[in-house]
Amino acid sequence: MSVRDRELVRRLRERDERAFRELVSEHRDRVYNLTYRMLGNRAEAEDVAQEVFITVFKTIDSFREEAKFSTWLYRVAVNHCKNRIKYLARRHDRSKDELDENAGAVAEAGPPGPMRRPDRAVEGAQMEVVLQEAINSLDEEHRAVVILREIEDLSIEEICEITGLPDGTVKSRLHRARLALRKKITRHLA
Amino acid sequence: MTDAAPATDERLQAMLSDYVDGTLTAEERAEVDAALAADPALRAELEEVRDSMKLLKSLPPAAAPADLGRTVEATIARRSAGRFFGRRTLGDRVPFGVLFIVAIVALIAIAGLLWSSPTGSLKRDRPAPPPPPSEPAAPHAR
Repeated sequence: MSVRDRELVRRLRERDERAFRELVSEHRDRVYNLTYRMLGNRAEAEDVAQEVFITVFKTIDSFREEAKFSTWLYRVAVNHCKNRIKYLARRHDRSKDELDENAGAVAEAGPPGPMRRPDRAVEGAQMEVVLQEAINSLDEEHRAVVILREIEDLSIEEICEITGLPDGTVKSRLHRARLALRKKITRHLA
Repeated sequence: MTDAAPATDERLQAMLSDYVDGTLTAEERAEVDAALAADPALRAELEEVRDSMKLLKSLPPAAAPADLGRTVEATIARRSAGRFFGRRTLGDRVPFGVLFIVAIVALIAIAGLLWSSPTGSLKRDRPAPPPPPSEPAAPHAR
């Protein structure tokens, strides 16, 4: 663990409010991106991201400094997401409406830069919907592995630490998740 | 999707995953290349996997709402009645609540012992020492 992280953890343990603000400001986009891709819904993602930071702050004493702080943060985030997915599945409350709304918002915003082309923006937004729906079709275990690898760009070793799974299981899950995604995506593209 | 695949399948899947990531050793890569050469369908499948993963990597990062930090702080303050932040006091470090419960349980146990004691104290009556062996009576002289 870096000296900076160690210092941040020490201050969090002292219930230092400024340390908490630093923690949120430094990691919020990464945590939110993960929760959003895991859940596919902005409101749920925001709610879970909040819970992640609250849990980190509440349970900072249980953090063993052998692991990287970001790995531990990811573990907390992934566990919260898995629990939320199970909860939502139980409630049959998973609406796809917001994804369409988001696609509209992305299409309106378009890619950055002066060479914006509305048709490409819509294409990009539609592709994002297709990709997110493909992710949503995976169960939570496969979803977590493929998001951590392909979107968060973490190494297999880091994913093993986050999920607590052995190397071989992570890789085989990753392969199956990739195959399932490929099937959904190619079906759409065809 | 289950993880009940036989070990050989799992090994092959792990190798294919590494193949896509380009992290196989030369020897393992040759093994997979041979399998792909013998199986065009598998080769096509892996190409599609690669293309799909490129698309996945191109997903734009979702930025957190600007007020996420403030919302989290407000939630913490509400749930903890404003006590959550702030340096820890002695009361946070010493588990007074647990100590209080332990003390109550200990007092109840002592009270129970006193109540059930025939002497009304924790002292027990010492058993009376056995009577000294009586000396045989001297025969009456007649």
